[in-house]
Amino acid sequence: MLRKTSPHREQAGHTQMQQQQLIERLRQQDSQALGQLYDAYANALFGVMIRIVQSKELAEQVLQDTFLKAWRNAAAYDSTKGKLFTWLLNIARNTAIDATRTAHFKNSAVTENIETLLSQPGTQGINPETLGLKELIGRLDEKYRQLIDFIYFKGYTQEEIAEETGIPLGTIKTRLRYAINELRNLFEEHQTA
Amino acid sequence: MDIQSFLESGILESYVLDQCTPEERQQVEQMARDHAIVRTELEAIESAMSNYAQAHSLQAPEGLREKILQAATQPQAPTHAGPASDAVDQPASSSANRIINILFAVIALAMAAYVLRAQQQSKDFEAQITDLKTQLQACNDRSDKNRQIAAFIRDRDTRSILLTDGQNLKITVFSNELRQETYLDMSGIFTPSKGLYFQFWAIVDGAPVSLGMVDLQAPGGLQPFKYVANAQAYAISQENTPEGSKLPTIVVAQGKTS
Repeated sequence: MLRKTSPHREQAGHTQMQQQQLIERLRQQDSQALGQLYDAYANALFGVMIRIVQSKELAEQVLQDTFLKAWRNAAAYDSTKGKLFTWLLNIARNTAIDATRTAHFKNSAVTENIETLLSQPGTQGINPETLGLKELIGRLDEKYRQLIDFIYFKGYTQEEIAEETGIPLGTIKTRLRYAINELRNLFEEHQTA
Repeated sequence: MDIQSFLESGILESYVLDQCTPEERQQVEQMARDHAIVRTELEAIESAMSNYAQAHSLQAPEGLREKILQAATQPQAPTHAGPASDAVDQPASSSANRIINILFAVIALAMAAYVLRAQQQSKDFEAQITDLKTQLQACNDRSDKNRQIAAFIRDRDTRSILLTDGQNLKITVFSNELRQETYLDMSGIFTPSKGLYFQFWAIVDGAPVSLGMVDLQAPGGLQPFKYVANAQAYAISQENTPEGSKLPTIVVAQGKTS
């Protein structure tokens, strides 16, 4: 079934042209561009990292590594293959997930209870729109949200989830597609409301 | 594969979540180039996942921005400065010329010496910083190790098994089935006589299984051993060789797991 197409939100903080200019300046090693990149995306990336590594100190380190990787590999970004934020998100997620797979992390006692971490001062959501988005996600059916979380925050592949749960891979793929479709519906309703 | 099946296969979601194989990635990119609807679907999925990430936004730590900018823009070592090249009115006499040229040469040499010294100092500082970082890392590693051990002991699934000789000797084994880890506490173990060594055993189905030789110098005072399922008991034996034996020679302490 084809979904009706509708205009989607621009990436946080930048229009497409601004993104293109930003990436050009990054490639020219303009440090102000790095600062602007940080200002636009650091909070979103930090929130994702906290969810993955569950440690403020480690999330800070991973965030630093992410921006330095983006700085050093700006030439590798290809706008025809996806948005700048998606590129950054994938660097961030992969760096964070890799950090959780080290033997050091597995036996580490520094992981904090995620709810405790999120309830500390200075770790709140940062603006009403973020809270609105969070509320929308809360409306997603629990099993779909868990599936997305396992893939997005824990780095499981769909094959690994199928193997762990005994659910056929085809079913996992269908559920993920359905889950993301539901997210799309929720976000689009929010935008048009 | 027709477009509809391609869109419903889940490959686009995998692409956005960066879980595609290189071949799948190429396939998606080719399809996106060839079909606008694939591009539109990709963008919509990207948008949904971006919003998902945004929904989890948290204030990044203070000071991190400056730290990142500093790390990204490490100052370069000063380059060798050449002699001053200001235009100077040439004096009429050749001896004056020579004096001026000598002066420039002396200044140039002095500047070169200064720059070289500064570079050497910079290298020394870098070496010191590297050394400090290495030491700090070693401290952090030891600290992490101690935290790991503390967390293991505090874990509610960790069981402690007391090994005794029936008299004064008491040695604790910590074992956790879920973590698949076993630790031997060194604090209860005495140093054996010269030429003698301790070997650690698990008793499984009535038979001893060697877990390895005891290292009295284990960091943190706890030595990790491989976890053995269904251990009915643990024991420590005294052996005559550093490699140990296939069977316990003299059992010095033992304890049941249940």
